[in-house]
Amino acid sequence: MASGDEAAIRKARQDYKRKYSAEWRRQQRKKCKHYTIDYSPSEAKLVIDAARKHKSSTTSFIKKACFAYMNKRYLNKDVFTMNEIFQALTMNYSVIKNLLDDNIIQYQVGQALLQQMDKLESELSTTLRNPKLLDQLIIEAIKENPTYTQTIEQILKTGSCDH
Amino acid sequence: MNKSSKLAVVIIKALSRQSGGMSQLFTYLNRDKKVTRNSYSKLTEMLNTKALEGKPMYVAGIKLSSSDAKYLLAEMQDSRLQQSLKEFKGTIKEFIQQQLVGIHPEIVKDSKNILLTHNVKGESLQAIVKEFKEVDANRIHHRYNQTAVQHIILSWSDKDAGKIDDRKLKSMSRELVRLYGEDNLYCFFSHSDTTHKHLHAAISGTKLNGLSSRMSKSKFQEIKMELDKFQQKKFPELSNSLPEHGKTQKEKGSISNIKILERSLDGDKLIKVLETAYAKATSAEHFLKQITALGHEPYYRNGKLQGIKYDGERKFRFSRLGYDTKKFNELNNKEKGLKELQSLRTARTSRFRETAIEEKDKTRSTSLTGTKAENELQNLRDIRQSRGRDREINNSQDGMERDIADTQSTEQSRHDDKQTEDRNYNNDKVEHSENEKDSNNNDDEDDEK
Repeated sequence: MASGDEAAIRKARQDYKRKYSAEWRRQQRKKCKHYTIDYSPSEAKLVIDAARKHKSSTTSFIKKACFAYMNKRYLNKDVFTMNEIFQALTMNYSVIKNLLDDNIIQYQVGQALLQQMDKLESELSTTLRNPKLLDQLIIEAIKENPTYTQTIEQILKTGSCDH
Repeated sequence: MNKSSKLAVVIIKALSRQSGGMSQLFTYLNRDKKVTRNSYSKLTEMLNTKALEGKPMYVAGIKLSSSDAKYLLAEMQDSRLQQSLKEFKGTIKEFIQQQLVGIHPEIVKDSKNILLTHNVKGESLQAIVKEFKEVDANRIHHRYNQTAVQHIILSWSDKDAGKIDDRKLKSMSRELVRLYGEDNLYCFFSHSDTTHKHLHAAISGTKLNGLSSRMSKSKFQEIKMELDKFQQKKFPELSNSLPEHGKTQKEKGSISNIKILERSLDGDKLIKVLETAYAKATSAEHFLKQITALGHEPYYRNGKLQGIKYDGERKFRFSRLGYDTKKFNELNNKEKGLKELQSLRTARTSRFRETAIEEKDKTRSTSLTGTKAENELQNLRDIRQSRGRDREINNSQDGMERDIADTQSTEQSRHDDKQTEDRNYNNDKVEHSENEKDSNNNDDEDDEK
């Protein structure tokens, strides 16, 4: 560095970067586990396509899918669209609240609207953010109406439904 | 600038907190005025004790009996209730249920300073913090040190403190929401614990769509200006709270500009000096000598000539002044060229001298052998003359024969020419007579007409 030679400076920088990254990797290995998995070309294609459909990177998709399977949850296909829906709902809620604060709408009307909005948002949150699994849905449907057992049996036997 | 004039502006301050400090920030923003709370609690304690003891007491120099103390306590509780009723959003029935019966006493207690919320459903402090954390967790692109909440302060001058009410604060905060982005979570806390009223705004670091709500400095500057315009338009009475945004930066900029100007002026002078020196210089050394004689020292770095110190103080690099290694090489080449020229000149003069000496020697030798050469020349002339006579005789015999042939050919050509002339003459005659005939015919026709 003191010599001011460009090549020497470049080399010193490279050495520093190498040392720094090596140290960072060492620390990272201490903190987190690192696994390497091999995919055949056909398998890799399947995983990459699925990740693309879910609008996420391949590695993050694998991680999310693993956790979703363990927690018995579905993966959200499009997080961006889902967030936009919730954004629109929340903004509508705040508009009604402002109107209520400014006494533009009646207090009772405003409260009723806010309650409805809140209900809609919570329902959507359960269906979009934490959708129920198929077996959970079937059990709930049979609980509500026991005649659904026959239709389910029919579907399983024939592969179609009369209704 | 004294303290009051410093505060005579709307100050907008932006800070950011990570998720760890979120709850602390909200508790800090929702704090009560510490001094008043202490004095108020002390007063109530004193009144309670004196009322129970049945002893008189002095408050601000006025003597109060035990019954007076009880009455004052009751009045204070009434005023507190009235104040909380004013702040309460809902019917009186709900107020009685929540405040007096004590179903949700923490709601009113917690949301004491909250002026306005946007995209936030909860009313208690815990609920608000929970919502902020949820939004932060729903962030799409995570970063280990991501901003969870942004803290902006809107402050007004103490001179305008009497003119500001909650309505104005609300409209200002709504304008800030509109300008900053309606897809964030907002929570505004009004504070009047100091002489100047101010608003604290807690803004979520993540938007509702899961993206970061980061704002660039330039964009934030624009928002400040827009907010100022809004205040001027909507609340012109707040005349003491109009800041000059970017004033310090301008001052800093002007100082740096002066320095830059001085430097550029010195640089211009130095360039002129260098130009004159360069024109006169015969070599790089001579060039540097000339400059040092004028009081500007050259400076070196790692043994290399780097630049020049103007008046021995301000450093200027040669490369920045347009005197790079090429120019110095040119100077050195100039020196080399001059040397070569001199060497050539010296070489030429020596050769010239040598040739002159040789010529002199030759002339001496020719003068000695002049008679022989003359004799030889005479002999050569004689030979040429004799050869020329022989050629003339031969030429005369050939010429006779050629003349006879020429005369014969000329007579033949003359005869042919005469014949062709006669033919052409006859043809012309025929044509001329035909033309005359045509013209006569035309004249006759015209006459007839």
